[in-house]
Amino acid sequence: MSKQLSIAEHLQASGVSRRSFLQLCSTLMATAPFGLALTGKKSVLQIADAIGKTKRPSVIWLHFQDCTGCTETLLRTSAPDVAHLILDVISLDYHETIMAASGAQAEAALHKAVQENAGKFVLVCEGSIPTGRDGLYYEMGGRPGIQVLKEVAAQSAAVIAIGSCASWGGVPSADPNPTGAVGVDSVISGKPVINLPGCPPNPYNLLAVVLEYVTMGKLPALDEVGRPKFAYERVIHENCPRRAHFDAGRFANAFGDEGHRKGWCLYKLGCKGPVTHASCSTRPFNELPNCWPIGAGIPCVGCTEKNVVWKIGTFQTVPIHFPTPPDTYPPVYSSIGKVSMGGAVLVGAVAGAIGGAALMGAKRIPASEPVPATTGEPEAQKPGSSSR
Amino acid sequence: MKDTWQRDVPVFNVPIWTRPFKFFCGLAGLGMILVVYREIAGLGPASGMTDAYAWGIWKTFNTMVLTGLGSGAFAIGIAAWIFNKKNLHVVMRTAVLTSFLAYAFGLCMLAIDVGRPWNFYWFFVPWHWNYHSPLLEVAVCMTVYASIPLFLENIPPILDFVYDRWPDQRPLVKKLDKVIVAGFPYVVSLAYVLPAMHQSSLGALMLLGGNRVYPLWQTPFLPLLYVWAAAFLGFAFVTTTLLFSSMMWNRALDIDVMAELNRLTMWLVGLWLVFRAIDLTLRGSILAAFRFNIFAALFWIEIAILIYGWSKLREAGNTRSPRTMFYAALLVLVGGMLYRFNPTTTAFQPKAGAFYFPSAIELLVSIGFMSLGIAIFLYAAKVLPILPGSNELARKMEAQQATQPGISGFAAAPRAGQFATGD
Repeated sequence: MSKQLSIAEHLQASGVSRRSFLQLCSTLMATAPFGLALTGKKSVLQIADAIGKTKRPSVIWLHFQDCTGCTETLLRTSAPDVAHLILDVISLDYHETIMAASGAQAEAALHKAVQENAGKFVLVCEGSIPTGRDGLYYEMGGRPGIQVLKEVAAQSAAVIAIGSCASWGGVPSADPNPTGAVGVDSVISGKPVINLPGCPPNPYNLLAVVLEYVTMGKLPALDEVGRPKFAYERVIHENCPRRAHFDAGRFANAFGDEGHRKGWCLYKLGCKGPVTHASCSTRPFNELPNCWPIGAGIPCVGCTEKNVVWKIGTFQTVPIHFPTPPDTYPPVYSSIGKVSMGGAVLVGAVAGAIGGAALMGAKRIPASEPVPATTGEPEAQKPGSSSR
Repeated sequence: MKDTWQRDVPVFNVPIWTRPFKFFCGLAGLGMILVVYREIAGLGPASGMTDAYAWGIWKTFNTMVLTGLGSGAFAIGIAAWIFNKKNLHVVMRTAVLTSFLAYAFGLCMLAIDVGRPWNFYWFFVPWHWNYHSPLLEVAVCMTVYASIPLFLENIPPILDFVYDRWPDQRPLVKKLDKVIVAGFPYVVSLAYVLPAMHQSSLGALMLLGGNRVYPLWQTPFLPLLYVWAAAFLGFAFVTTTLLFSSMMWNRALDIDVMAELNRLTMWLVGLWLVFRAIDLTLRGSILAAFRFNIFAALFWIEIAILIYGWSKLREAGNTRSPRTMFYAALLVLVGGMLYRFNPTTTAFQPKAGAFYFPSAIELLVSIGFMSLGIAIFLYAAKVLPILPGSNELARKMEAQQATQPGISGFAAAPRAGQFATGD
C-alpha cells in the first residue's frame, strides 16, 4: 500500500509534478522561517529532499464540537491542486468530513487506522470537548466523544489541537458554556499536545508541525499555552501592514468613514491585533496576498487568545503594552507656524542697522573717481589715528 | 600718481579691540550661548520651524543665501585664473577669506540644524550615505570645498604673517610655500569645480520642491540661475567689502580694479535678467507675475531691485564713482539675496496653511554666526595681509618694519609678491 512508499514516490505515483511539490516546500519555508529544524535547512531543495525521503505520516482527524471550519481551511485552498498536494503529502487515514464511509464502516475504519499505526500516527482534533453531563453532548458511535478521544489519544504519537475550539474551547466555551466545553489539552494527559488556535488557523501551520515531526522526529518549540513559537510568538500588531498608520496616528473611527476607506489602522474600531499572538499579518490565507480579516478591513477579534476573543467586547479597544509608537514620531497634523514678536523686532532692527550702516558708510565713500594724488601721501592713515 | 593696488597689505597700526569688534564679539558670544540652549532644548522650543516647515533660516539664509555671498572666491577666481583678468588677483585674498567664513559658518549652521544631533556621526560613515539625495551632494561638496580648497587658499596670508613675525621660522615657511605652489593647480581646479556643483545643487534642491515652489521661481533652469546668481553675488559682496573696508580704514582705492569688478557684475546681472525673462516668458510662468498676491509682489520687488541695481552698475561704469559702485553692489546684493531666499522660504509652500517665521533665538543664533564671521574678518584684516593696499602704503610699512621689527605686514622689500600663490 501507499504507506510503504516515501512521500516522493507517492507524489510521483499520483502524478504530482516536482514543481508543485517544490512550491509547497517554499510555502512551508515562508510559513515557518524560523523555529523549525525542517525549514531551517539551507534551501528549498534540501527541504524537499528531507520530506521526500520520509514515509507519509499517518494522520487521524477527529471532530468534536466544531463547525468544520478548520477542515474547510485545509481543503479550500485557492487552487484545488494545493489541497490535493497536501492530502498526498500526509496520509489522512480517518477524517469524517472527507471519507466516503459512514456508520459501522466508519467505526471500523477508525479502529483499523488506529491499530495499524499504533504509536506512530498524529492525532488531529478539531472542536472543543464537551465535559458536561459526562460528555453526553457529543457522541461518536454511541460513546461519549471524550471517551473516544482518550482511547485514540492513548495510541497516538502526538496530538494536535487545531482551531481555537480544540485549543481552549472556542465558541462553544463562551459563557455560559452549557456543554462544559474545554480544550483538548485539559482532557488528555501523558501525550504532547500542540495547540494551533485560530478561527480558522492557517493550514500551513498544521502541515509544518506534522512534517517537522515526521521528518525531524521532534516537535516545534512551544509557548506557555502550547502554541508553536514559529507561528505564535509575535503579536499581529508587530508586523501588521497597517502598522505605519497606527504609528502615524491615522485611525479609522467608524466603518465606512474616510480613514476606513483609505485603509488606515483599525485599532479604534476594536482591533485586537496588539494583544493577539498569530501569524496572520505575515502569512495570509488561501495563498492570496492580504487575504485575512485586517486586510479586508475587519478588525482582528483575537481568535487565538482565550482571554481576548469572548472576554473583551468586539469593538472595545485593548491596552497596548508593547511596543508603543515612540514619542519622536511626527503627528499627522503639523502645527502651523506663527510670527514671534521677538523675531519680528530683531528682523526690523537688523535690517535697519545694516541699511543704516551701509548708507552712512556710503556717504564717506568718495562720490567721484579719486584724483591721482600728488602729495605722495595718498592715504590718511596715521598710526593710532583711527579708532576702527 | 595714480593709486594702484598691491596685494596683501594689512590694515596697519590700528587697535584691534575697537568698539565694533567688541560689539560683534558680543553678538557672536550670545549666539554661541543660544546654540548650547538649542542643543539642550531641541529644535522645537528654540526655533520657529514646524513639521510642515522644516526649512528654517539656518538652512535657507545662512547656508543657501550666505554661501552665495561667499562665492567671491569662485566667481572672481574664475575671472582671474581662467579668463585671465590679471588685475583681479589683488582682491583674491579678500574674496577667499570672505568665502571661507561664509562657508565655514554656513556649515556650522547646517550642523546645528541637525534635528537629532546624536545621529550626526552617520555623516562620517560614507557607506551609510543616501546617494540619491541632492542634499548629500550639497553637504559633502560644501564640506570638502570649505575644508580643502578654501582652507588651503587661506594659508598663504598666515604664512606671510609667520614669515614677518618670527624671522627664525622663515626656512619652514619657504618649505611650506613650495608644497603649496606644487599643489596649487589642483586645489584651484577643485576650487572651481566644487562650488559650481553645490551652488547648482542648491537650485536643484528647490527644483525638487516641485509645485511647492511658486511658478515664478520654479523652473528647470533653477540650478543654472542659482549658480549664476552666486557668481554676481560673489562679485557684489567682494566689491562691497572692499569699498566698506577702504571707507572704514581710510585706504586708497584702485579704481581700475573696482571698475573691472563693477563691469563683470553688470554683465552677469544683465544677462541673468535677460535669461530669466526669456525663461519665464517661454514657459508662460510670467503670467503668474500678474496675479494679485504676495508672491507676485515679491517677484516684482526682486526684479525691480535688480534692474535698478543693473542701471546703477552701468552708471558706475560710466562715471567710475566709488559711491555709485557701492550703491549698485548693495542693490545687486539685496536683489540677488532675495532671489536666492524667495524660493526657499517666502515663495515656498510645503502644504496649505503652513507658515514660518523665525523665532528670536533662531535669528540671534543666525546673527551670532554672521557676527562671528565679521569679527574674524575685522581681526584678520588687521593682523594678516588680506586686503589689497596702495603701493604707497606698502612702502611706508616697509619703512616702519625696518625700524620696528616684528610688526605684521611686509618684511624685506623683495619679498613683496614673492609668494606667487598668494591668492
